[in-house]
Amino acid sequence: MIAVEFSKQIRRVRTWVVAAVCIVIPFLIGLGFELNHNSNQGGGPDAGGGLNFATHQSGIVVGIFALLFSSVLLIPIVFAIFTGEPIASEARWGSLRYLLIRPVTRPRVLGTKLGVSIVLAVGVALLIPITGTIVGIAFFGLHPIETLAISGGASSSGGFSAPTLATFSIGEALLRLLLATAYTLFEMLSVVGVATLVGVATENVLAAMASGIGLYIVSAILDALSGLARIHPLLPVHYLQDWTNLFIPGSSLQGMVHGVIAAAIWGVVPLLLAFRIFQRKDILC
Amino acid sequence: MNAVPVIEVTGLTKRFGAGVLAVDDLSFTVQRGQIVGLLGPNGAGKTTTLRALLGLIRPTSGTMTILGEAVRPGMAVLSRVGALVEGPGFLPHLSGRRNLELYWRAGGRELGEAHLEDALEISGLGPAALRKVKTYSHGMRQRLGFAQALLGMPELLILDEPVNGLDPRQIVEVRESLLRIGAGGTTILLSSHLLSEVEQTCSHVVVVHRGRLMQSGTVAEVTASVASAYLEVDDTARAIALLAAMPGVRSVEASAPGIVVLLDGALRPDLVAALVGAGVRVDTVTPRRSLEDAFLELVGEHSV
Repeated sequence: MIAVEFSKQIRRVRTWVVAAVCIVIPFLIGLGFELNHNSNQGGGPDAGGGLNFATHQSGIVVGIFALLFSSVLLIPIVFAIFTGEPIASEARWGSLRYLLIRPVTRPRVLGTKLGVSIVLAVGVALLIPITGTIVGIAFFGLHPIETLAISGGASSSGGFSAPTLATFSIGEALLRLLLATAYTLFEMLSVVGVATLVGVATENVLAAMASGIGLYIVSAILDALSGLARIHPLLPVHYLQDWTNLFIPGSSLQGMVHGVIAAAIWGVVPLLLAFRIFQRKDILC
Repeated sequence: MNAVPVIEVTGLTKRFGAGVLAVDDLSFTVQRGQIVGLLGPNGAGKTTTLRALLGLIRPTSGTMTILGEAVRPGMAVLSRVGALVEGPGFLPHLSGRRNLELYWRAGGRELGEAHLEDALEISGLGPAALRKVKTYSHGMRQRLGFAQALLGMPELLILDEPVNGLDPRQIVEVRESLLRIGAGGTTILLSSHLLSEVEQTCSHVVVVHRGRLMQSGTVAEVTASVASAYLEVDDTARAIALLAAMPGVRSVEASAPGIVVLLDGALRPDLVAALVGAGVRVDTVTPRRSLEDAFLELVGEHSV
């Protein structure tokens, strides 16, 4: 059954279009850094997401920024497309009823589709940091990363302490990029949960995808409103980029722990609901 | 084993939401080897009944068994059932053949058990089976859906309007396939709003209207339960007027070149006597025991 679902989804044009986008975007980021590097000899520290890197110093940096730039929208879109669609598409084609008159329980049907969708979404999303790193290495070579470190607790009393320079070896940098990627993909559990729930409940492809993406857009807006600071920890995007602390020596990783918990809740609750709805649903399409 | 009905439906009721009662206390039985027509006008609850039998919708009340197993979603006995429900449904980006393969393997069985070539042969798609389904005509999809239902030589076929959208030649082919499959021992439950279809294909009929059981039995029993007459006369218009005014006559309809009369107490000789007495010359009088008459009588004015 898993093999059947794979061969259904692998043969879809959308799978390959999304994969192509996930290869092109990091390539463009690498190219952008390269052009910036050429027009601005020496390159300055880039201040995206609190990261203090010279973008041209190592190819790994391109992988890191590819992940950072795509985590807000591109990766959620990938997950919304892949996980919102499977049940809704089958419903639209009228093939869902034929899937459900086989001697297979409904939780197994949904579980298989969901599992395959997640594996494909993860596979496609992984192309982003991988392509970014490869393109980066092609442009800038494979080197250790130098970054500014936050010096200890003394700075909290006010005043800027002199920033110190820290270095990540190639292995260390790659390992941290891997961790950051794993964290980002885990955060997508909220998109998976909501898109699956809406897909199962409405059997509408567009609604399912839009809900997954909409969840991110709406919570990003709410997250930007400082007046709503009290609910920020509840938003699925609030801790999305806390993995950047992995590349800021001396900073706390507490945010990532919160992020994992928030994603797990945003993922598990809608998924349980989706399974329950699917189990009891009258299949009329 | 033969004592266990292939399908047993008892008191099936399905209410959608708060209002519409799609199926209302429906009971019927299908025995092994029968070809049963579930007959009724559109909206009678035929499709809802078939969906409930396959575990696609939850009945509001009532019990159903297939081959002795209680119906529930994904029940094991579905591996012995082939079905076509409310039209075919295929993945448009895959070939017809590939669709059948995936359908079969989704049930967790080896492709070798599917008898795929036989099913494709019956579908009559030929080389088109290798084209993407999105290039198919409505009739081709319908025939592929029929082939899908036949995969694995099921013991029970449940077919919802199997000849819908087919041209007359294809209808004959499907009918012949059904009769051949039925003769091979497969039990078939098919729904139709076409009386002629049921009459030509089925051994038994279950007549439903507005979700309720009107009558069931062999085709002969159901048609015999309705008294009717077919007359040919020299002055059709006048005869219709005369007959319509008679007591014991339910309805009178022109059916060129004659008249069909449904009786409700009056006898055929009474009709002849009345017509002759009024000066209308009668050429032919026969009982007209077609399923159509029975059907019209059973469902009353609603479907005419």
